[in-house]
Amino acid sequence: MKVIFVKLQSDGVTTLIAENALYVLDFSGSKKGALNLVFEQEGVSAEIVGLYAVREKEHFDFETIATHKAPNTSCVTYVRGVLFDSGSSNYIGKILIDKRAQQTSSFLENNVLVVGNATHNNSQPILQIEADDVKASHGATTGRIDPSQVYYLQSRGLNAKESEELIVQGFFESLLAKISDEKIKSAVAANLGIKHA
Amino acid sequence: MIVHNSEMVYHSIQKHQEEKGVIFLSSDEGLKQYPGIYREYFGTVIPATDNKFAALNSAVWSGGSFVYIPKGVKVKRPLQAYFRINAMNMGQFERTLIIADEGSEAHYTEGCTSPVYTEDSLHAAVVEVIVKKGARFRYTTIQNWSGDVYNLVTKRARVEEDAVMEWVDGNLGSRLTMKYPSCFLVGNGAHGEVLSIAYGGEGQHQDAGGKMIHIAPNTSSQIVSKSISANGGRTSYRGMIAVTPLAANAKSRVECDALILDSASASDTFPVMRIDNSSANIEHEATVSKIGEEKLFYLMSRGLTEAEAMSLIVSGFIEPVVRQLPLEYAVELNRLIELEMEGSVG
Repeated sequence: MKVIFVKLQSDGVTTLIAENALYVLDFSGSKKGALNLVFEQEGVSAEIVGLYAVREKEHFDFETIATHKAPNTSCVTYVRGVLFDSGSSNYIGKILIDKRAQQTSSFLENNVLVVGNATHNNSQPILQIEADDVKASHGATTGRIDPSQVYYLQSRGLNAKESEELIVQGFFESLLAKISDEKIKSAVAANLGIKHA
Repeated sequence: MIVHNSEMVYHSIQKHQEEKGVIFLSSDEGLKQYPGIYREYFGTVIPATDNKFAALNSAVWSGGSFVYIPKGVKVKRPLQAYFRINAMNMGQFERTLIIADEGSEAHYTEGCTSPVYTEDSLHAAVVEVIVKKGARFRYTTIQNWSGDVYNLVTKRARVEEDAVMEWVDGNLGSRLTMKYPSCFLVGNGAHGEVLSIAYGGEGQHQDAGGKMIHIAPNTSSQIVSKSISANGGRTSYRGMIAVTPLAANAKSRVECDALILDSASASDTFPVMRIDNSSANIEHEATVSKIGEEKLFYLMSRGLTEAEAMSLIVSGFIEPVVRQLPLEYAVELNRLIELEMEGSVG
């Protein structure tokens, strides 16, 4: 699938007309901003991937909007973040389905993995549905890194820090694998500060 | 107990409950007979400055219930209240104060109805519940106001150590309902639950949901919301999960499902999750869909009409909440939804 790297603008919303593509958010510049992906053409199917790691005292504040205006469109949004010590993030994920956009399916998944302490996370997944023949859903979780996973890796000879790094890497891996463009994948991994296969 | 417009018209309490010290009165009577309890608790969960409807209610309230369950007393049968608006352009400002003392258990249920007038009425209730250490309290409402009632209600519980508070909330009638029962989980190990059903029919907007504020460690909460919109109605889920820095090891789960029955109807989901603690475990899930063609086809192939099939699917959809209701309320709710749905299939 075609991969489009979207640089966020700290002021205002980046609006794009959806095509059959994978949209990857680029946080290398701004950690703030919004992407509005507008489905105007019938039958278009797209995905949005946003991966971020919030290091010490950093703050991420962004929004994704899937606006369905035409029938028979589909969108899947994946947003995953890791919070290290005193990191904070604020994410709004909207799915808007217009009256005309029948037979739409739109899904949003937002997972936040908490590794550090004194973290703050604010998630707002929003659905606004005006059509009836649609499938729309979202799931959002915020949870601490599983101590039993860390323990297992330590029992295999890794230290605590290495174990955490490996779990964080695994957390992002399945979504990184979606990015078929190697250059973009490397850029995202570098920005996350992780190794990738 | 029955409250007509804003006045109590009928009251009865079982003798053996009275002997155990259970108090169940209208709030006006309660204030007269137990001013000490009012002085201590009234307005502590929802102060007059909370929001403008709470301010209005605090200024002019009358009617409502006053319930006190003494320490360790377990009330087996639900305490029941019934509210009715029977006048045009009426404002009903019900004010309820409930205290479940340490280790007690009770279940309070209320039903609300009104006949149809062409002019608007306002129901602006304030309900305060204090659930003390180790107590368990359930508050059930089935609201079926007529389509000219604005139903703007503030309901909040203060849940102390190891106590459990459950809100069961059924919203069928009214033109506009805005109601988000909340639990402030202030004691270690406190648990809060909201089970909510909303049916938004013609000309209606049901804006319902729940709020859970985790203030103490090891607190847990759950919100389950089911909504149905039909004949041009709109349902919205609005909810909040807040975990403060003091609330270590908080757990919360939110599930909201919406069914849209026709193309004129709409549904929204507006949840907020504000997690200011690194040890919290929070899950939120929401779905919006229409009734599956396959399910309808299957039921119709078994001899049901389309309307019967739809009504059966809707009953199944809300069953997880209805199961929690006392039998007579469950029967009534199912019947009401059937009535509402009549004629919704062209």
